[in-house]
Amino acid sequence: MIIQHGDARRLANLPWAAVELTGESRIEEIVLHISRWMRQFEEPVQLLFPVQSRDLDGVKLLSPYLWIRSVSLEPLARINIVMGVQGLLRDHENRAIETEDEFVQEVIRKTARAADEWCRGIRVGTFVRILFGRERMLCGWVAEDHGAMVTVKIPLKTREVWWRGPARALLNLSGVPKTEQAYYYSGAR
Amino acid sequence: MIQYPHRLHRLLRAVRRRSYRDRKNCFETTADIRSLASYYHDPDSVLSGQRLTSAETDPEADRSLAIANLALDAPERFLELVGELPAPIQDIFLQYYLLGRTQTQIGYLLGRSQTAVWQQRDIGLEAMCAFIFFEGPPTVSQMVEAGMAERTASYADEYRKTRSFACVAGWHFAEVKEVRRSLLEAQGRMAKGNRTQKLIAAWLSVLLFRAAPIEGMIAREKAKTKRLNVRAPKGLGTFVVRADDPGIGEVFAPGTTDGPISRGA
Repeated sequence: MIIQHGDARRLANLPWAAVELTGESRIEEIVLHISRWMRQFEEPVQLLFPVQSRDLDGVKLLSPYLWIRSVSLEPLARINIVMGVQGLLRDHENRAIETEDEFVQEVIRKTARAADEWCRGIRVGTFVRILFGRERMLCGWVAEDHGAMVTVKIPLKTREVWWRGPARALLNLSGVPKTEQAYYYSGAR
Repeated sequence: MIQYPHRLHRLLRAVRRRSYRDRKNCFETTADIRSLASYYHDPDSVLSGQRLTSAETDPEADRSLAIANLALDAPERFLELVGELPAPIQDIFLQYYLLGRTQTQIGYLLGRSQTAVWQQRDIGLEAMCAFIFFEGPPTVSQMVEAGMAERTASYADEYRKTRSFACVAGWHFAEVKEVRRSLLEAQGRMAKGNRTQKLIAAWLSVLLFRAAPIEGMIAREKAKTKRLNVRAPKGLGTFVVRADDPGIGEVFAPGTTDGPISRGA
């Protein structure tokens, strides 16, 4: 996922810096904090959140770092004020290490491919998990397929929830045995 | 040695007195008990006020963690115990312990406030302890042994099987009101008793959960079981997101843990 602020076209071919996190938990929340922190800049800023997979266990990253770039890396040095961020990856002279755009573009392509994989093969009747938003982690069955948009039926114990949203926000769980399919499927059996 | 303020000592003594606890609602009492537990655990740090001390931040003080561990280690047993709870509480347990969803997210789906979800989770937790202790719902003999009147124990057992006050009242040639009242009174009385009686009270509170015969209440509860249509915010799941998008919080759903509550976390 790429989160950007301002006119990102101005950042073409510019180098990136790796952002080191303090831990592996609550990564999504940290990314949200960084996104809000980015808004203060007048110059455009781009952040790559290289998600390989998402599920109940949380987010697995393609690389151990997030990647960020702006017209200049200097103002981004204060990213360590964001909760959960260690700072930019630095060399022995305490300068932010610049990474070529070509390398990060490859990471972006892999991230985009990974994002397409989650929802591949979803059709009416498929057992899925919602990955984003307020209904995240709930499982259900696709009831209607309108191309990019789908409707998922989630039968709770007390009521039925019909969720309508993009298929890209879903994880295909068609491999789960029918006997284990329930809205609270956690895989821990 | 730290000189503890005299007024605080007086308050701690008062909290321990049952008469004081009886005048408060269950949430205040829980907070009191937890505060006292923290105080006995480390009085200096609690009274010096160097940092916030709360039972919620102290995993050892949270019994809920035992259930979280059960959900991770023995999900089948967890599901079996959850199956004994009323459907609205089941929904809370399944989402909270298996899916790691927040109480606010759960409350939104169930038409309840975060506080109500927390309260009902607490009721469920107590009842689960009772199921574990009695190896299932308490039997008539177990209830009588704990000090409940035999007739009331039969009411409870039969109500568990039929879920109908009218049926139970019919079998005992009693009035529906009488059956209801005696169960509620027994629950209140047991809640003030010893540990076993408290567990029976917890089980009774789950048994009588949402059994209120008031018409308005039932209508309101029925509305919460109607089909809920949810439309995901625009841009959910898109690869490129703008940092100033007002819906960005929805994408990341802050406050959500990275999965089911982890051991000791």
